Amino acid sequence: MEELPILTVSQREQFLVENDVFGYYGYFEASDVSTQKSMMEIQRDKQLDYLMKGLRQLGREFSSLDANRPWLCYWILHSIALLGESVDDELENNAIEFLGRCQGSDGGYGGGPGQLPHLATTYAAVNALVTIGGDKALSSINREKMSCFLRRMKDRSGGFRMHDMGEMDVRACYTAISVASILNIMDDELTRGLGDYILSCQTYEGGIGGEPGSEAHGGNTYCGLATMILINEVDSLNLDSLMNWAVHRQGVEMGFQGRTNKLVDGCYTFWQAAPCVLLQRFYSAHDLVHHGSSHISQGTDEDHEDHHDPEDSDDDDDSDEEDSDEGSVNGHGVHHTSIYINRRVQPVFDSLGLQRYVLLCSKMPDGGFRDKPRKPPDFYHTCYCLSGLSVAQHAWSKDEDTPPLTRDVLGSYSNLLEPVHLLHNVVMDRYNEAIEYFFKAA
Amino acid sequence: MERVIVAHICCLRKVDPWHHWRWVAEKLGPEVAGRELDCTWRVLSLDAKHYLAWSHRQWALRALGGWEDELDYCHELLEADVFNNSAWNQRYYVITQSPLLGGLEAMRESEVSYTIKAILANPANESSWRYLKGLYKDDKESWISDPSVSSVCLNVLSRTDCFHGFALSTLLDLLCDGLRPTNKHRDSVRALANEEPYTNLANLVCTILGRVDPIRANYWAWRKSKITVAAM
Repeated sequence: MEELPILTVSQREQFLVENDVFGYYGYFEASDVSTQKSMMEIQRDKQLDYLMKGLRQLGREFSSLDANRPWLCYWILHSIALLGESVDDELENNAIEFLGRCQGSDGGYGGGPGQLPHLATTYAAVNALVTIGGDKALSSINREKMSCFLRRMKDRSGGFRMHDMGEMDVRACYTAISVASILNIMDDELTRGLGDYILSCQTYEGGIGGEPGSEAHGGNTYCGLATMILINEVDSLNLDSLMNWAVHRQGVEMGFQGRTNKLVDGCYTFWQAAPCVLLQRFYSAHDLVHHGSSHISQGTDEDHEDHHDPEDSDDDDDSDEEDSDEGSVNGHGVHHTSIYINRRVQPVFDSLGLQRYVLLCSKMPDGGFRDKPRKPPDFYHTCYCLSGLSVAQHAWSKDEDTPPLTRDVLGSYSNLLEPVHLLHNVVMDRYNEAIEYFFKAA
Repeated sequence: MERVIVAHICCLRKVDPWHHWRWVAEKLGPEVAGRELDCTWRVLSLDAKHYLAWSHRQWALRALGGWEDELDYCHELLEADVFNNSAWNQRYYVITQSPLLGGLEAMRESEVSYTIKAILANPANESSWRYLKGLYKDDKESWISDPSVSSVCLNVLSRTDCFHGFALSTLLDLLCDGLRPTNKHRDSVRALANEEPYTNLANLVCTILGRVDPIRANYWAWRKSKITVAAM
């Protein structure tokens, strides 16, 4: 009998997942056309049912040990907004009122009423309120106290701590800066030394870890990169190696993994695809030559598609989501030169493949999204699979004013989700509204 | 006993327990170094890639010491699973941070030899290729002039039984960083070309990569578009 090769733990786990995933793909290939069509549908109604049920349950449960409720608010409300839907007034008011009770008397938001304010729950609460939108939600945020809270979380070394005497890491930095940016309370004190701290978290692999020395990791890479863009110091990172690391996180399953040689997970659809798009836009906006040398580049930034001008295209399906507002804020904190508006690029990652993984392997036909086959769905994965799906669908657009073509969207065009602001992960419309509100308030 | 108290406090305050263990251990000082390393060892024996256990272990080494056996520990983990990227990452941490070793440059030669062995045994293992490149961080000159880097690429490219993607992308990086290709390089790459036109070597490598690593076809096309005149 032939001797079987001894597999390492990594190899064995990887083969088991591949087996499951290719089982799903094989089933899809073998199905008839109408089954295939339905497998490719997002199933909006089922998704909304799942989300609304979760939101209502959130209101009803009063378990004081649950520190996750602001997160659940954000994950669910953001998912609903991505689907282009909104929530009734009563539920909205309940959410605003609940989050208001999580707000600390000295600023920031805790996991529940009376709980210690924490940067992560603060980020979730602010994003949830921005997603709800409107004066009542936005005015409920105490910006002055928030400033004090952020300053208290700032560490002398340049980073931020999650809470009083809490851990310091790249996530804490991102949550603080994202909030400061949206609320228009950014200042030099908050940004001092921050770039150096994050730079020290970029590893030899090219990705970014949670702390200096920690392994390059998808979530931390997103947090680190987004923060650097928001504070305008992104060019001190090694962008070539960051881009290289990020694109290599897409595996044979077509989904993304969080770290080298680890398993695919639907949530990394957002954490890894967003950096790919951010970097690609950054390179094109600055017409950077690879390796940052001053040599003549081989060619200007290429479009691999025809130049698509939304005004005279007739191959788009009619879409309610088409957004051609003038004066929309293009990536607050990201530089854009006007000649790149309304142009397209070929995304550096395989966007259709990624969408396929989300729709066939992560999506539950009865509602919700999950990490991978055999895992149960949850609201965290639902949020980040949908967010990532939106990023993937919009990946050909160089900026927010360029709507996706039919061929950018896997399945029917009705699968198209609302575009998100890549640095904050809230839908663009709500972001724009919030910025207008908080910048007027200044 | 402290761990039980700390865990209880963490539960009540809803904060991260790993961080509080640091806070307590810091108060107790270097005498608990062994205990912290032991504790993380236990978690890692159940899950050798546990993210928080690794950061806690790195913190413990930094704050409390105990570096003596760490490189051996990494080796043990890699013997068991050479694809364990966390172990490679820890190895990098040790060779760059340990006060007992001479730092990256001093350790480079032995580490290159260690890594090349690992690469040749598993050319499809991304971890080892990234580690190899990491050994030359911030030292482009050594990276392009060290013959062992170039030769491991050529070695893998000459094999018919394995994945060529990492060897090709490493060669691409070398070329873009200023490596002057020899005929060996050109012949090696051309042998993999399927009648693809030869404009310049880096360009051809990108073309082949688009075929050999199709998931990243767009990325390799993007790389091709960014090749500078100097890399021709």
